[in-house]
Amino acid sequence: MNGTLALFYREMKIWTRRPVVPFLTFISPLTYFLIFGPVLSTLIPPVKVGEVSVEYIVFISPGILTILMLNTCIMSSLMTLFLDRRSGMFEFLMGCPVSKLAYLLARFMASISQTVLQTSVLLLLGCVVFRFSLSLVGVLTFFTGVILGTIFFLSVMLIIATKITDQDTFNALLNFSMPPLIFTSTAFYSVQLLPEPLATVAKVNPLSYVIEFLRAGLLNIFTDSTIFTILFFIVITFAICLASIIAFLRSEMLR
Amino acid sequence: MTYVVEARGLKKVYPNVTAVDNVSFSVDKGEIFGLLGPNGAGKTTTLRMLTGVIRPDGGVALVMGEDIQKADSKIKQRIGVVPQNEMALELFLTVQDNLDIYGKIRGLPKQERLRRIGKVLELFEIKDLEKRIVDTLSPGLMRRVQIARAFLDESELLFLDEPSLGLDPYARRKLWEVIRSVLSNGTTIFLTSHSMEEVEALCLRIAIIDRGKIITLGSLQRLKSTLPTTKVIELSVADINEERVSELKNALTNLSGMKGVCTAGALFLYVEDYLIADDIARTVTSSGFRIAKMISRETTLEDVYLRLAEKRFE
Repeated sequence: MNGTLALFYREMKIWTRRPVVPFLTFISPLTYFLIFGPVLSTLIPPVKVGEVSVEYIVFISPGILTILMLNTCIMSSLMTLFLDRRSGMFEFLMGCPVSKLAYLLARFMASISQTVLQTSVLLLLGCVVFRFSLSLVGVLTFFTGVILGTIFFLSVMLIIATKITDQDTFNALLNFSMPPLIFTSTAFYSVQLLPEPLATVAKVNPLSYVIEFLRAGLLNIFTDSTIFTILFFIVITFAICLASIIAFLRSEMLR
Repeated sequence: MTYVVEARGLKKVYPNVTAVDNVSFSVDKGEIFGLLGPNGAGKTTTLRMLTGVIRPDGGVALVMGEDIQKADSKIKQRIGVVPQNEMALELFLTVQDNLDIYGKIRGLPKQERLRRIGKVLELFEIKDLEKRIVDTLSPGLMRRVQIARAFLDESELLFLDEPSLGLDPYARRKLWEVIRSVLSNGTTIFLTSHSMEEVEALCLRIAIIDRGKIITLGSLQRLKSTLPTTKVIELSVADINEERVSELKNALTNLSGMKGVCTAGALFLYVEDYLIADDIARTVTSSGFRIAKMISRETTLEDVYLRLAEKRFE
């Protein structure tokens, strides 16, 4: 456990020292919250979620936070994995008294800490600026969604990273897949408003599951369908996390 | 007898290439063992298997008597590693942070960590770099930080992969001095290098690896004893092509007192006595060549290596 904690400390220290972090953590989502959101709210009428109508900025907030979590998993965790591999740090650490599992665990712990910290700050801001009405169950649901979403995103990307050792290919894959993933999710539209086959795509898009999880917590709306979505996502997350651990432990992860 | 490091038939196969093929050797406690070979010979792959970073496809790597793949972290607690890549540092953090994190990973308590950090910063003369961000350092300075880091834990066994790569001559000599000094504490050092000078200066026993196979192993004296004599005349001839080298080689081989000729860029002539130099000069000029350079010297590890390399190419 000492090794895991030392590696977690390392991850967090690197995260706080990277100049790109403040931008990704706060400035980028703030532009959505403070500029695009209010502008879009004046253009787009309130959206119905279950039986409740909510302001458009409130509706898209879970989507913005989910995109932020995804970015954090990519930038702060996965990119450092590539950097570790490229610089020889991964090889060096594997020669130290720490296991691959400890390395992986520290990475998960660091990503979760980072996304929880980021979303907490933005959630507080949302409460002040947009007067989100939160309940204890809602907040617990929201942070469970943040933690599971982070585990899910990181697990998927770790599986890809064990197969793709070339960072350029990985970057190309991300650039190619990110926009369709975001725009075919329920980040910006309610699934009821989407035409077929987009509605079906949105329903199977993993991003939508995280967004709906956070949305349920943030808006405190729990219908039968949201509860099913949450339970399904929990099962999927555990399965993909297990697969990523196995893939990572089997891979030598060297360049 | 339990060796500190023991490779038994190590093998590593990558797609289309056998990087390490049936490599076996052992390293005693308190010894500096050198694994010497050209780039791509399999040195780093061997070291990676010995440190448990990669799994061998065959054979077993024993460290302190235990299979490193199955050993728990207690064995790795006793070893230190300097990887080949000088960038293997936390680039966004300071030198101090790098050493501190490594100390934490090794489980050193804070006070002890600080004491040892101060000591290695002094030892490797990088105290003034303490607060510098590693990414702003030159490759040579990064290498010094890496080496300082490996010495932080006073490990029983150190694996050094091309340790002096990128170091200036002064820093290299300083490193050699430190390596020699830790031997008195009973530290064992496994060193890979392609620098003959480094291996000759430091190592008690040497294994030469080429294309994944150990081609010779023994003490420096034993390896040198495989050469025909202890005296060498190194000869460079102007304007000569490969075909005519053989012609000249044959002419020189027939000289009385000539014990062997090796061609590797220059001609390495193993002689009974340096007085043969006159005969050599005459043979070269009478064959229609011009001498560019002729040096007489004692044999070195490089001669052993070149002779082995030539044999393999033949």
